[in-house]
Amino acid sequence: MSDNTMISLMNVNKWYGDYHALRDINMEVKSGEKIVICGPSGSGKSTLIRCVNNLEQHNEGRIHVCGVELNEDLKGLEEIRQKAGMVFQSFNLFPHLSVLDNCTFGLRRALKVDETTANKIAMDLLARVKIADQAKKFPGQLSGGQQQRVAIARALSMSPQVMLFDEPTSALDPEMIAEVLDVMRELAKEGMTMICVTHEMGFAKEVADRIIFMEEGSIIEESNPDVFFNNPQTKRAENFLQQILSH
Amino acid sequence: MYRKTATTVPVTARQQQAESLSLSVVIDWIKKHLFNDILNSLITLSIIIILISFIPYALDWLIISAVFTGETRADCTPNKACWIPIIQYMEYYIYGPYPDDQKWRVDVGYILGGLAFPLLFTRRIPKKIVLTYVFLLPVALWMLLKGGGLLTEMPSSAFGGIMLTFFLGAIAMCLSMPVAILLALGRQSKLPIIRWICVGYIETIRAVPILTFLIMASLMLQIFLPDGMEIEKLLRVLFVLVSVSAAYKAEIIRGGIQAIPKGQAEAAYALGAGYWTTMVYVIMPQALRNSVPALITNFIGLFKETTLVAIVGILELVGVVRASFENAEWIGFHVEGLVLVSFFFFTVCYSIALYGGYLERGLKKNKQ
Repeated sequence: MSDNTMISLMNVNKWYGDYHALRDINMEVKSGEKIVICGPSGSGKSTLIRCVNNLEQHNEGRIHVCGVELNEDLKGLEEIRQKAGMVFQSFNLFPHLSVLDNCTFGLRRALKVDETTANKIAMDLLARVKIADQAKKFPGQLSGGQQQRVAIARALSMSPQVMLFDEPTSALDPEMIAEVLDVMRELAKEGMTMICVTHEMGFAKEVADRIIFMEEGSIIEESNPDVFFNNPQTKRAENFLQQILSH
Repeated sequence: MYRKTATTVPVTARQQQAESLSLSVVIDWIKKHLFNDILNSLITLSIIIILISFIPYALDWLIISAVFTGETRADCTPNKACWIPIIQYMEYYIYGPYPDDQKWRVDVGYILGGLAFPLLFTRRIPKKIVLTYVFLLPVALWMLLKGGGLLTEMPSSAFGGIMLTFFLGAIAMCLSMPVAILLALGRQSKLPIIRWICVGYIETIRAVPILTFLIMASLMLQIFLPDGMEIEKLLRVLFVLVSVSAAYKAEIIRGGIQAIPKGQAEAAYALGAGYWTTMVYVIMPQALRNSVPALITNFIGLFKETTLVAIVGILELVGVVRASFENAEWIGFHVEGLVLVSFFFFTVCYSIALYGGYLERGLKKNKQ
């Protein structure tokens, strides 16, 4: 493990009952790297990313995040989670809180930042995702794309060292995908470490340093975008690309 | 109906609606909704006929021919309501057997309890203050009415009438809520022991009639306690009311929690929030909103259940009314007493229902 390794997974296995969800996963993410994970549905992409901030617990192997190992008797899990911002497929904004309060939730309730400071930080972030004018509205009053941008701002509010995206555009109408991807591109440009589970191959080509292809819980192929898109090393990745790019 | 649309249409449109609410509109409405076809017209007419043949008699019995002034049984008209005993006993109904020189305490209690309503109905006062008030109310009422310390301590037998109904109702309502929330969370806990205890508690309480618990609390509990130790009867009854209604409320709230998508808690955890922070600020606000209609029904039920304590010899409103009609002078006039009791409970319970409606309308605004 080199010094700038931010996340590492070693021989990670996970089962849901008899179902083997993750098989011997080995993976390393360095600071500033952008990783795109793709693969057919049910291949374990989401499970993998959710194990990184302990929303799911792995059964075997070791996971290190920012130098701390995730295991059952971990104290200060909250602090690890604060270092890894998570964006969900279904946004998961808090419907009873305004957009602004959604973005100050982590600051005020987890970090105990005072309201004025928290509001200032949140407003800056909302401006960054170009939605500051909607701060007083409730999530239900926004479009899907706007909600997802708020969710990104909310995750950024904790100043995370790595951002995890779990299919951030899959629940969006096609015309709203671009606005969310734009925000993600901006983030990538600023040097944020990112792990994205996504089917947006254009985005992957453009932004990713590495592409990880998964199937049936295993990592089948791991290569840079050039190789992955032009000269996939495995037959299964090739089939997958044909299916996803043909429509 | 009119009210519902009024919140969503702009002010100008609302003004137009209000202006055009004239006689012709009323007639149009009646034609359209009550006499739109033969069947509907027949139903409307028969209901009107039934009402016409019934209401005048009821009004006559209740008010027009009823007797309000007088001293004795001889002043009453036969077969008409006689409100003389009710008026004579009014003070007893309101204060129970509380001693005259201490009645100011009951008055203060009514004011404290009554204040909760405007407090709950305004949005200007921060929620924290309202919640603190509601949670401190039971303690304040107990210290005020029961006494001890600065105030003279009152025996349970000094409690009675509306004052006792109100005392039991207010305290049980305020205390059962936090207990219910903890039970609902405990029932979903990942720790098996806590979960089993909560499930066992809820299922036991739900499966046994509340009357049984009241009788057990008043008769049996004493057997299990060491000699010389005695728990105030009122406290025991309150304990039963709180424990029982908390079990029902816990199930209502659990339903509210289960209706919330799993992603809500995950999003909070992902932001580094702990279990309690997540429950208090993310899950409970939403779960309680989901549960408002059912909780209001439960509150109304609980308030009416306070009448059951009469069975263990504690004279709440129904108890004192019945007691007053055991006076030989007024035997046979208990129907008037029951009218009074109904009127009192209807007023209180309908107020609670109105508050529920108000809450639901307020919550709808924030939701889509």
